[in-house]
Amino acid sequence: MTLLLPLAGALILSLLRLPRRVQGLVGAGSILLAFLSGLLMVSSGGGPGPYPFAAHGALSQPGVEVQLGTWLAAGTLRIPLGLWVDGLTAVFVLVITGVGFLIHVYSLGYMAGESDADYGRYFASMNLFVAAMLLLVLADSFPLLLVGWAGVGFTSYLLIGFWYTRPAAVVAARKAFILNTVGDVGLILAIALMAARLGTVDFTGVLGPAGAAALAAHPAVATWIGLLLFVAAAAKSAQLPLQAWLSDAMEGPTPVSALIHAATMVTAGVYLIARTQAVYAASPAAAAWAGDLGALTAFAAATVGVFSYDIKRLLAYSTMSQVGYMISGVAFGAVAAGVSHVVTHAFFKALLFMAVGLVMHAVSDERDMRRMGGLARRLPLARWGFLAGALALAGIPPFAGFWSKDAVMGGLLHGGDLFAYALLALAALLTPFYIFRAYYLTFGGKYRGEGEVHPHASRSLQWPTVVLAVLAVVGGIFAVLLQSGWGTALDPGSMAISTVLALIGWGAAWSIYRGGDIRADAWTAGALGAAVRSEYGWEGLWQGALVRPAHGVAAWLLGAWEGRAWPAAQSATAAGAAALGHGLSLWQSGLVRRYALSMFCGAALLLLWALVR
Amino acid sequence: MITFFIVAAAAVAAAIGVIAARNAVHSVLWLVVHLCSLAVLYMTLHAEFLGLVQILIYAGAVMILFLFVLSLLSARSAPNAAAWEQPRGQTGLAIAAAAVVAALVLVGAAVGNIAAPTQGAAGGAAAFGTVQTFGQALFGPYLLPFEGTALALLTAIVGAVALSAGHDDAAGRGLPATVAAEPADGAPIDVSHAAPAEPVATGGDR
Amino acid sequence: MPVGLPFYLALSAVLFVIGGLGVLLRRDPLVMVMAIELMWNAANLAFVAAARHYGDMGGQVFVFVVITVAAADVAIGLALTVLLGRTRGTLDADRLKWLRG
Repeated sequence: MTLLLPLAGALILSLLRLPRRVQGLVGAGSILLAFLSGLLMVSSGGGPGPYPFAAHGALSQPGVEVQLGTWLAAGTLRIPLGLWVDGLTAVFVLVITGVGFLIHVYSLGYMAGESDADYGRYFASMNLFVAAMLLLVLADSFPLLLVGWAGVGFTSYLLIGFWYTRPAAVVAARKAFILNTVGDVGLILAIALMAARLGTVDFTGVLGPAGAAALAAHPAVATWIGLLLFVAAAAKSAQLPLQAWLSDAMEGPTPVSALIHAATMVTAGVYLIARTQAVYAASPAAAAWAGDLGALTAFAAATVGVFSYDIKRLLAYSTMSQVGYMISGVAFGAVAAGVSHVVTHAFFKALLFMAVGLVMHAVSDERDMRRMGGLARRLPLARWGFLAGALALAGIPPFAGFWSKDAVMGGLLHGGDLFAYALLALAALLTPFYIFRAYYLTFGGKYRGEGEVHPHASRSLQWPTVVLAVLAVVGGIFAVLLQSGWGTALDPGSMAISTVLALIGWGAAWSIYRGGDIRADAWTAGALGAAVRSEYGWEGLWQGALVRPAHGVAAWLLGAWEGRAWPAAQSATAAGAAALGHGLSLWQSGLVRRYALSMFCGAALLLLWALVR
Repeated sequence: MITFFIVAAAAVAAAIGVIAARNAVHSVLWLVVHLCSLAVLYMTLHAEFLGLVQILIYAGAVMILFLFVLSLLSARSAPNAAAWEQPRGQTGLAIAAAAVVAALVLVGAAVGNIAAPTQGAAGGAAAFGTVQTFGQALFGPYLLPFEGTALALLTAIVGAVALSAGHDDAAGRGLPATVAAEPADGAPIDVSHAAPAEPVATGGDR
Repeated sequence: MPVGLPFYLALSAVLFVIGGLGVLLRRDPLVMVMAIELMWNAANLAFVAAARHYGDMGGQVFVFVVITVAAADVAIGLALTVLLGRTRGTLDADRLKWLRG
C-alpha cells in the first residue's frame, strides 16, 4: 500500500491532464496517504503477522517478509518477489514518506510559477521518485532492490534536468545519471557474485545465518561483494570517488534538492550498507575501505564547503559530508548511529534547503552568497529556519544533529579506527564554521545584491518549514529512541568532545563573520580557495583521465568506422539485396502454371528427402 | 485381382482422357468415367458408403456443376488449337518432376516398410466399412472434423455467391479496375535510398 | 488373392501424377480444376486402401472430409473461373499474369 500509492499518483499525473489544483492534491495527497499507511504498517504489522515494532521498541527484531511470488527462477537460483519489513525499513519508509510529504507541500508553493504541464510533470516525477525509493527500501532481494535503485537514479535524472531548457541542468542531469550508472554496475556485479558464489540473491539467503556462514568461509568473496556494494553506495550517496555529480545536481529545483539530494536518495547508500551488515562483518577490509572513504569524504567535502560561494552548492557539500558520517558509521558497525543520523539529517538538511528556497524566491533565484546579506529582517521565517537547521547541522546540543552525529563519532571511537575518527572530528570542527559562515553572510550585515528583495511566501511554503524547524530542534529525541531501541548507549566522553568541537567551529565563524561583512571573507578568494572550490581539481582529473580519451576514441570511430567502413558495408549490403531481388523477381512470372510447377518440384524434393532420410 | 487390374486400367485411361481431351466437355465426361471406376475400387475395399458418395456427389452433383459452368462460358473457352502451347521449358520440367514423383512413390510402395495388416482387418471383420461403422466413426470420435466440413461448405457457398454475383451490378468496382490501375510493366525497385548516409556532424558540449 | 496395399499406392501415384501433369500442361482453367480433382481422388484412393489395410475407419472418414472440401474447392474454383471469363473475356491461364513480379 505504501508502495503503490505514490506509484498510482505518478501514473495518474503523467497519464491524465488535470487542473492544477488537482495535480497538487494528487501529488501531495498520495504521499500523505503513503505516510499514514506506513505508520499503520509500523504500528500494527506489515504483513500477515503483526510487526512488533511499536510494542517492543526493538529495532533489531528480525524482519517480516511478505512473499508475493517468484520473480524468476533459473536453475537453482530463485529470485523471489516480495517485500521485507523490519526496523531499518520502517525508519526509512517513515522518513521518505514523512519528509517527502512536507517537501511535496512545499513544492506546491515553490513550483507555482510553472506552467500547468510542467507542474503536473514535476509532481509525477516526484511521486515516481518516492515510489522507486520505497521499492528500494522495501525489496526483499537484491535484484528487486536494484529495480528501485535504478528507478531512483532515473527519476533523479528527470528531476535534476527538470528545467530542460537550461544547458547546465541538462549537463548536470546527464552527469548524475552516468555516475549513478557506475554504481548500478557495481551493484549488478555484486549481485552476480552472490549468485555465482552463494547461489542466492535474496536477503534471507545472503544476510541470514546460512549466508553469514558462507561469507565467513570465503573472506575474499565477502571482501569483493563488500567493495562492489560500496561502489554502488558511493555513487548513489555521492561519496569519494564518485561524488562529482551531487554539487552539479543543484541545478534542479530546490525542493528536489531537498528531497533527493538531502533527505532520501543520497541515503540509499547508507541503507544498502546498513542492510548488508553481514557482508561487512565478514570482511573487515571492505568495511575499512568503505568507512575510511566515507570519513575522507566527510572531511574533504567540509573543506570545500568552507570555500563555497554558491549557497546551494555549499549545502550539497554539506550533504556529502554528512552522508560521509553515515557511511562511515554504518560501515564500522555503528548502524543505529548512522541510521539515526539519516533521520535527523533528513529533518535539518531539508529544512536548510527550504530556507534557502525561500531566500532564492525572494532574491530572484540568486545563489551567490556574495550578493546576499542583511536578509534577516526581510525574511524572518527563512532566517529562523536556517538558524535552527544550522544549529542542528553543527551538532550544538540539544539540537537534532548533535545526538546522531555524536553517536556516529562515539561509535567510531569505540569500534572503528582512529584514522576515520580523526577525519570526522576535523569535519565536525569545520561543519559549524561553514554553515555559520553561510548564515552570517546570508542574513547578517547589509544587503549586497542589485535586485529588489521580494519576500513572498505562500502558506504551503511556510508551514512545512515550520514543521521541519520544530523537528530540527527536537528531532534528537527520535535519534535517541532509535539508538536505545537498537541497544546503543550514549557516551558522555564523546559527547563532550563533540560539543567542544562544535562550539569552537561556531566561535571561529562568529569571530570572523558576525558582522555579516563580505570583506571578512576575502581570504577565500585566492588561488587556494579556487583550487578547493573545484573539488581539488577533481573535475580536471576526470576530464583528463576519462573524458578526453573517450572523445578521442569516439572521434576515431566517427571518422574511420562511421565515415568509411560502415557506409561501404551498407552499400554492399544494399547492392547485394537489390541483385538478389532482381534475380528472384524473374521467378515471379505471373504464370499460375509456373507456380504450380514450383510446388510440384517442391513436392518431389520433399519425397526425395523423406525416402533418403 | 482381375477386377482390380481392369478397373485400374479404366481409371488410368479415363484420367489421361481428362487431361488430353481437346474439348472441355469431353474432359468432364472422362472425369465421370474416372470417378465411377474409383467408386468401384472403393466398393472392393469395403468402403461402401464412400463409393456411393463418390457416385452421388462427385460423379453426379459436382460434374453437373462443371457442365453448367462450361455451358455458361463455352464462347470464351481457350482456343483449342493452342491448348498445348507452353511457356519455355514448362513441358520438360513438368514431365521430369512428374516422373520423379511417380518414381519415388512407386519405389516407396515397392521397398517401403509397410506394416503388416492389423489383426482382424484383413481377416475380414464382417462389419468393417459398413454404413453403420462408418456412421459410428463419423459421429463419434470424428464429430469435430465433421462439423468443420459443414463450416467449410458454408464458407464455400458464401464465397461462391459473393464472387459470381457481386460484380455484375457494381461494374467498374473490384478486380478489373484494380488491375487496370497497375503499371504495364513492373518498374525495377528503387534502390537509390541505399546511398551511404552523411556522417553525423560532431557536436555536443561535453 | 486379395490385392495388396502396394498396388493401390502405385495406382494412386500414377493417377496423382497424371493429374499433376494436367495442371501443369493445360491452359484452360476449367481443365486445370478437373485435373486438381484427379489429384484429390488419387489421394483418396490411397486413404481408402490404407484404411482397409489397417482396419481403421479414420481413413474413410478422412476421405469423406476430403470429398467435402473438394466440393467446396470446386465451387470456389468454378466461381472464380466464371468471374474471370466475364471480367477478362478470356479463359487462358497464361494470359492472366498480373502477379508478375
